Parts: sequence; C-alpha cells; structure tokens
Amino acid sequence: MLELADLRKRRGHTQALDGVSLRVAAGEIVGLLGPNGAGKSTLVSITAGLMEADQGSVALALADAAPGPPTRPQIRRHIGLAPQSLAIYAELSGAENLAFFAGLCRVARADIPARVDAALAFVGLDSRRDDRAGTYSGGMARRLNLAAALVHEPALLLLDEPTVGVDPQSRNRLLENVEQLRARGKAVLYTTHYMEEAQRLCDRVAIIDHGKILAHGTIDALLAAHGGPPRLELEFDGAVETIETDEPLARLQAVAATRTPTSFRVVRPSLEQVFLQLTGRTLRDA
Amino acid sequence: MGAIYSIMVKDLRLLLRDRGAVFLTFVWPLVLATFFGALGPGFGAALDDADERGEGGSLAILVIDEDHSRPSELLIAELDADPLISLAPASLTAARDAVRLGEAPAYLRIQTGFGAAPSALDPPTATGPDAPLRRVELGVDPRRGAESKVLAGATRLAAWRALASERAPDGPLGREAVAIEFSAIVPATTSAAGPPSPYAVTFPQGIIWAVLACAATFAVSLVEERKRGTLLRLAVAPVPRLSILLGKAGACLVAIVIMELVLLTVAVLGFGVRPRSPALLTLALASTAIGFVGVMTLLAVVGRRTQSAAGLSWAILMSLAMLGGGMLPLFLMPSWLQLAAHASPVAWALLAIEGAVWRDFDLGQMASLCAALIALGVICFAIGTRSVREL
Repeated sequence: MLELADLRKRRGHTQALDGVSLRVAAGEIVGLLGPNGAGKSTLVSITAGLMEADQGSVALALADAAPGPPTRPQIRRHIGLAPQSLAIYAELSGAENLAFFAGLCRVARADIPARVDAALAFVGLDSRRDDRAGTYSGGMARRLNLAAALVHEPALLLLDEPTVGVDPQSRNRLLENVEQLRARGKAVLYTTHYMEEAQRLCDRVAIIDHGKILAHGTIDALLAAHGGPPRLELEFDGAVETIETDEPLARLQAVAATRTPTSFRVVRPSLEQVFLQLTGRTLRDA
Repeated sequence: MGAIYSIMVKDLRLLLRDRGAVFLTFVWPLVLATFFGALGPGFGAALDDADERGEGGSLAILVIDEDHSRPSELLIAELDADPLISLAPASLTAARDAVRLGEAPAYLRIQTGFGAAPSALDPPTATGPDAPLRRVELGVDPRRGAESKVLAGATRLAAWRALASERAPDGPLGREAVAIEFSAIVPATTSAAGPPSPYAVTFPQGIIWAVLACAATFAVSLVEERKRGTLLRLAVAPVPRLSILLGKAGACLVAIVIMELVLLTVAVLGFGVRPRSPALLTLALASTAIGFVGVMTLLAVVGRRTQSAAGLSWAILMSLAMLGGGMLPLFLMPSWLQLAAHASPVAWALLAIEGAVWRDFDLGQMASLCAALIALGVICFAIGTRSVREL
C-alpha cells in the first residue's frame, strides 16, 4: 500500500529525515513513535504530499489507480489525514464539516449525504450531526476530526495523535474506530506518544529519532530485541529485590526454596522501556 | 470546479455565521451611506476655520474671470496669495468638465458686473434693491464639500481684502461691506434633472466601504484556516493550491457583489438615487469587485498570523481609502500626496461608480478607470497564486 524508500529531507540546518524506509500494508496499523523533533511531522508531511523529499521516494500502490507519489492530486485523493490540531470549522455543524471535506476530496455530489451519515455514525456523532462543531466536547471534536479524515473513504489514513486531550470513554471509542478501520482493510500510519495505545493498536511499530528509524518491527520483536529480560520483583518484609531473568518462574522457585517472599510479581518489558532505551532519557524540549 | 464551489459555499457560510463580520461587511457600510447622506453631500472633515489649515497642500481651483475689472483682478490676486489656494485659469466649459470628472475640486467664475457692483460704503442710491450684485459662481464637486466651504470663505475674505486695499484711505472696512452672491452649482447636474440627492454622493462611498470590509474580512480567512489547522486539510485535499485561492476569491466576489446590489437597491428604492447609466454602473461595480478581490487574494497569502494579517489588511486598505479621499479632504494633504492619490484604487473605484451614478461619464472616460481596476485585480491575483504554492 504505502512504501517509503530511503527518504531524506533537510530543513534548515537539521537533517529532518536521514534515510527512512517504511512500508504500511492494507489492513495494517503501523505506529510511528519518536520524541519531539525526531522527524515524525516531516515524515507525515512528505507522506501526505505536503512537501517533497530531497531524496528517496514515496509511493502508494492502489487497487483502482496507478501507483504514484502523493504530490499528485489523484494519489492524494486516497489519503486521509487527521492532524493533531482539531482541523474542523467550529461555526459549521458536524454534517456540514464532513460534507465540505467530502466535496473537497471529490466525492460525487450525490454520494455525499450517504458518506456523511456513514462517517458520523462510525464515530458516534449521528445524534449531534446538525449541532455546530463549536458546541462539541473535546472528545466529540476529536471524533469529528477523525471522521473528516475518512469521509471520502481513503485507502491510507495518517493519524497524528488522534486521542490527545480526550476523556477515557472518547479515547476508547477512537481506538475502537481505528481497529475497525484496520478490519475494513485500511492502511493506517499512527503517530502517538502514548505507548499503551501503540501496544494495543499497532501491528508494527517504528521508533524514529534524529531522522532515522532506530527500530522497527512487531511489538514482541521490539520487546525481545530492546526491552531486556523480564524482571522478577520479590518483596521480603517491606524490602523489594529485583532480578532480571528470562525464566522468572524457575528463579522464583529457587529463591523460595531458601526464603519465602511476602509477595512477588513478574514485570515484562514494556514498549516505553524500549522507547527510552533507544531514544534516551534526555528531555528534548528543554 | 467542485472544490472551488465547495470552498466558496463554506466561506460564505462562515461569513454569515460570524456576526461581527456580517455587521462590518453588510450593515456598517449601509449605516455610513445613510447617515452621511442625511447630513448632506460630501462627507469628510469639515474645515471652517482657516487657522486649521496646518501644513496641508493647496486647493487647486480653476478660475474664470469674465469681468476683467480691477476688483475682479484684485480678488484673484488676493485669492492667489492665500497659501491654501492655488488658482489656474480655465475656460468655463473646461472648468465645468474638470469638476464633473473629478479632476478639480471646484471652479470659481467671476461673472460680468462683479467690478461694477457697489459696496455698502457707496451712497444709498447705489445700493438699492435694483443695484447689481457681485456674482460669483462656485462650481463644486459635491463629494468635496469641505473644500467648497473653505473656498467660499476664502473668496469672501479675498474680496474684502481687495476692496479694503482700494479704499484704505477711507478708514476701516467691515466685512459686511463686501456682499457677494454665491451661486453654488454642481456641474454634473446642470441638466434638467436637478441636483443629485446627497445619497447619490454617499452611497458610492458606502459601496467602497463595503468592498473594503469584504476584502479585509476575506483577507484573513486563509490565516484563520492556518490557525485552526484546516489549511492542512485543504492542502492535503486532492485539489490544486490554486483552487483554494480561487474558492476564497469566488466567495469574496459573491459577497462584494451581493453587498453592492443591496446598497444599490437601498439607494434607488429607499433614497431616490437614479444612476445616470445603469450599464456603466454595472461595469464600474464589476471592475471594482474584481480589483479588490485581487487585492484580497494578495493580502490573504502575505499574512502568517491572524493579528498581523488583519492589521496588515486594514492598514493597507485604510491607507488606500485615505489616499483616495474617502476619509480626509485631499486638499489637507501635501501636494505630492494629492498627486499620489491618483494611484489609489479606492479613488479609481469611487470615481468610476460616481461617474456612472452622477458624474455623467461616457464609456471612454470610464474605460481607463475600469481597466486599471481589473488590471490591478489580475496582477494581485497572479502574485497571490505564486505565493499560495508555499502554503
């Protein structure tokens, strides 16, 4: 579906992208994780056709159109972007917003009402369709932001932090929506800072920093490669001992043979650990 | 075309749902035109006190001396000595045309018999009801009422000085001794149709304000799109960037045309304004709309933040309005600035609309103004389209 090959882009004195290659298949969610300034926005902008790479190529292979770069409007028609900022018109109703974006994306005039209804129902806003978007809660506005990205039924969705600042219920609804999109065969490039979202949603994750992809693969593969062994935490009368081991059960039995812990738990490595391991703990916005 | 239409409809909807923008664009120009029309022709700063002349330029008046007497020559000399006024001789026909076309604010015609008329110092037999009067015809551009008041005052003062210098040996002379009968006329209305309604003067100015308000409102819309993040969505949409600008230009054009029609309808039906040439008025209004839509597109792509874009738009448009004589009598400006006023598209538009409403322009006189407005619009739009690629 989407193939990024050896993308390089210089912005001012910074090498924003330095040889990035990535593939996203239909029906797959690929997470893009990286600290601030890592190159995520540049990558999304180039993928969306908003800017051109200095080197490398972006190609979308589509079922009903010849493959090509997203700088071509015919290709951009198959891309949906949900920016991190709420890119909707507060003065228009939810339905008017979606009808406008559908028309802009060349949906046939006769098809627009049905597409709008379907998109509103998909994100659970059909009951508020005629209310102005300015009256929506943060979560509803986020859902409308997502609906605006998919009202023209794109093959590729670029979702940039789609759950920022929403309540848990809306967040859960949004994540369910993204999962449904995968089930519908959409290719999704999902940018987020929330590791638990990436762990829940993404089939594969790419960790990017300083314009390079540092690690890329399934969650399990990343955890295995960069997360280190699981940790066995044992508590003895208030004192906690931590043992890193690939066989926590065997170690627990061995320890318990001499001392009986008051409690224990096995902590598997997390994606956050992998992220910090790869990108470091230094603050990037200081 | 579908995308352009979508953007147009969306932008007009956004405009109609913004009460402030609706008031500024649709209501305020109507209030201005109606209010100042009710006050009388020619709105702008009134300047009755000659001490308030300041450092402004001079009022270029065409003068026709039909009397060729010593008093008339003295009057002209005194008037010419006034730093506020500069005189240029002209024939009556040329002077009337110049004022009608807006090329000169006024002319002064010293009619035959001016020198022979007695003053209050002459014997009573000479100043009876049948005695000849000092007659001066003041032909004024009704849009420039402030200047005409200054001119009438200056003429009276000059006449008194002229007579006083002649009679100095007789002692002090009161101003009432030099009675002048002014007949103020509007050259464009010397036909049987009579003088134009004050609203014929103020409604073209109201239309200009409406056009400026529309242009300023839409000039910030692109920056607003950037601010709310929707510009990103527009840029990702499968449409050329030019379509975005065309959509906004189309919405601005529709708003301007609607506003022009509303104001015109109110002027005709509510205030009895009768445009001399509906066809030329259509041409003038269309050219004005095209010109300022072009200016709007250029302003739209220049700004990067709402405040700076709004400030820049209003600063530029207000400068053009001031320079075009829409806010301040031109004669208050230095002479070089008066010359520069001819370069203001506001002045072109105002003159074109007035030309069709009450100045009796023919197509030839209208053509250069309309061509300049259209050319301005096209050039600004072309520059705007180059910049919009960098959105």
